[in-house]
Parts: sequence; C-alpha cells; structure tokens
Amino acid sequence: MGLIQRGLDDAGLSTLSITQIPEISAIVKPSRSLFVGHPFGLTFGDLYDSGTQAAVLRAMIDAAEVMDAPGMRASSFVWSKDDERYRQLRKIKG
Amino acid sequence: MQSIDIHGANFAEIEQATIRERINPEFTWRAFDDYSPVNQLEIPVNRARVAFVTTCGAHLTEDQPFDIKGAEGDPSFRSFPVSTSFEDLELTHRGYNTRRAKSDMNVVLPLDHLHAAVRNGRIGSLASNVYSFMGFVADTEPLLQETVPQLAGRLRQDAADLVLLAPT
Repeated sequence: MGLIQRGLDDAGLSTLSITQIPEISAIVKPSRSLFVGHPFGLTFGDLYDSGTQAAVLRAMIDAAEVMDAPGMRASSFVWSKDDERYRQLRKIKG
Repeated sequence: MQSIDIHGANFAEIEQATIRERINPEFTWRAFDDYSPVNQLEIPVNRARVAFVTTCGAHLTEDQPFDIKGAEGDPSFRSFPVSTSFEDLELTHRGYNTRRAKSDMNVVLPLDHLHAAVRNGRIGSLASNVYSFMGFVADTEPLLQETVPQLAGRLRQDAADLVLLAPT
C-alpha cells in the first residue's frame, strides 16, 4: 500500500492511507498515514460494527484535512476483543 | 529497520521473514530515505471528490481473480463502480480471512460508510470508480513503473481531489 501511495504522491495527488504496521511505513515512508491497530482483514473494525467502521473512515478524512506534513498520525483504534492482532503480528497459529 | 513497537518486536522484520519462508526467499521491503511529498487538498473536504483505493483484493465476480499463488505476487489492479453492490464483488487475497470479510465487506471496503459520508456532507462526492489491488507484490518494478502511473491517470480521469488508501 505504501508503494502505491508513494506513486500517487509523486504524481501530484492528495493522499491519506491507513497503516496497520508502523514499522513498514517507517521503511516505505508514504506521505501521510493514520495508524489503526486492527487485525488484518478487519481494517475498519469488526463484522457488523458499523460504528467503528464509520469512525475509522471519519478519522481518515479528518487526518487528510489537517495533516500538512508527512508522517504517521496516531489514533485510538486498538483491538481489545481478542488476541487476533497479537497472533497475526507474531505469526502465531491457532 | 526502526523498531517502534512497544513490546520490542519489529513486525516489519517478522513479516519479511515470514514472506521469505513461505512465498519468496528474495523478498525485501523496498526502502526509501525520504517521505513522498504531501499534496494538500486544494478545496474544502466537504466539497472534495474522494476516491478509494484498497489492497483487499476486491473485484467484480465476473472479473479475472488476482494471482494469489505466484511468488512474485500480482501488481495488477481491478476497478469497479463505487455504486457496486457487495453481492457483485469477490475478495481474492492470500493474506487474510476473505471468507469472514465477505459476510460484511465494510470491514475492508467501507462502501456503505463512504456513501454515508457524502449524504451527511462530510465529503463532497465519491469518484466514480474504486481501485483494488491484492496487496502482495514482491517484484515492485512493474508496480511502480507501469501499474501505479496507470492508476494515477485513471484517478485524474475520475477528477479525484483526495485519494484514501486502505490495506488489509
């Protein structure tokens, strides 16, 4: 995702992305990103959790509106339902 | 690689090692010294035409699926109208549970919420097309030299003022 964003930035487009792994964004360095600590496959939130899904999208729009310098913006989106994100990041099966 | 995880693990290194072990022994993150340029939105966001780009592997059911078996990944993208119903879309991806996401595609492709953002006046309008990638691309040259310039051209045709990008 970061490489795609970089290409669009270089083409002059205004962009804002979600990042789920800040360490990768620190390597690829796309212009503006919003950290969302949700599991892979649940980027915007849990199934049928329309409140969180809409809130993540709103946070993207807010970030695009106010960020005037490159970097990653923190957010309050963390995953507390279970250990899925923990296991995904550490490649723990089961 | 910079480690910023509070538990001390560097998940970029873990992810890279996993990809090397399971898919492509040559895989390495493409690194850059500098951030790409910030292009500020030139009009208020409530008047902006917003485009959405995803790496969730979404495509129309009748379209050719993404290649999820090759070691080089798939640099191509698919497009579909932003008005497309979820029932007309398929998710083809090797990196997450697509079966689960198909029961509520808003978890990776928030079309319902994008349309709501227009209705409630937060954004001006939606670009006519959504652009979708599969996400895993080991050989990045075709992506950077061919695919992304094509995508930029398509987004300009769509008169997108702002591009929102979401991984999976």
